[in-house]
Amino acid sequence: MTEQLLHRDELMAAEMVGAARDVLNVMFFTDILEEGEECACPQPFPIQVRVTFTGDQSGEFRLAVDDLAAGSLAGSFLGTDPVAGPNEVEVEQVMGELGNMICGAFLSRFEKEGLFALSSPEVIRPAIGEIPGIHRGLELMDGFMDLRVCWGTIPG
Amino acid sequence: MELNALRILIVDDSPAMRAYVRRTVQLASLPVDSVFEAGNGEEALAIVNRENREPNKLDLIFADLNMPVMDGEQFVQRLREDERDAKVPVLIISTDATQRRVMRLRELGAQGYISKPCQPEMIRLKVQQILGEAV
Repeated sequence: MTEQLLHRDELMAAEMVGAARDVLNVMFFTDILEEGEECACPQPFPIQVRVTFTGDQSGEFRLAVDDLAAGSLAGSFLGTDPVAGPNEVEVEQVMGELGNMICGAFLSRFEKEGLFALSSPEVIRPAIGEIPGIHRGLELMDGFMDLRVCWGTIPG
Repeated sequence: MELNALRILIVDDSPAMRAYVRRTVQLASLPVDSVFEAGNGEEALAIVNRENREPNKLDLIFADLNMPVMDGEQFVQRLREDERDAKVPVLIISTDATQRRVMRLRELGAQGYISKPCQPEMIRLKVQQILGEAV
């Protein structure tokens, strides 16, 4: 039973990172350089995105990112002038959409037969506490990102 | 062949995603006359009601699924109930790519489905599929 759970956790983590890689490659023109259970970025992160999902499974997804990565990703997504860069509102809007896309792509990969409804992404500055569940830290070409997903109700 | 300039409606609660679709349409060199934007299905229905009039009918609607107030499924359903607006093609762009969702959208009458992440080229191809080679 424990082995099965461990296997499921590993599978979930792999699908979560795979979903993030797809989204970053296709829509943000960047890639993941390193991934692991620990993130090399100094915590807490300045920006966090929270997306909850309900349906055949329910739970919560969180993405946290540093300012460098957030600015660079938002600029790529919107195609803004590289010198001026995106403003703070644009960065938050793009990070919300990034969280929404990675969460949706992850659920579509991990629960192919499932039916889900995603909440509107909530952008939190600075990041609040962590959630239990599956976690991966990512090093990007510009900065760091942290992904977490928790199946079921978040305690407390 | 003379190109018909398109009147497009983009329905998404994410301003970033609306900007992405708008930019993608421009980058894909699709001929565009007007682009309207709505943050949810209810706002979109109001725009359809106002803008989908002869001789200036809407050519295509891009719609997200998960939106507050009125989601994408409800929007497509309501649109198809109105005889005048039922023929406007709807292309869904969403992160939710589960098989059950796609089947449900087909039943409701969406003409196309693109799962995010999606490349600009994919959007252009789908638009051509739906509207024909004229674009």
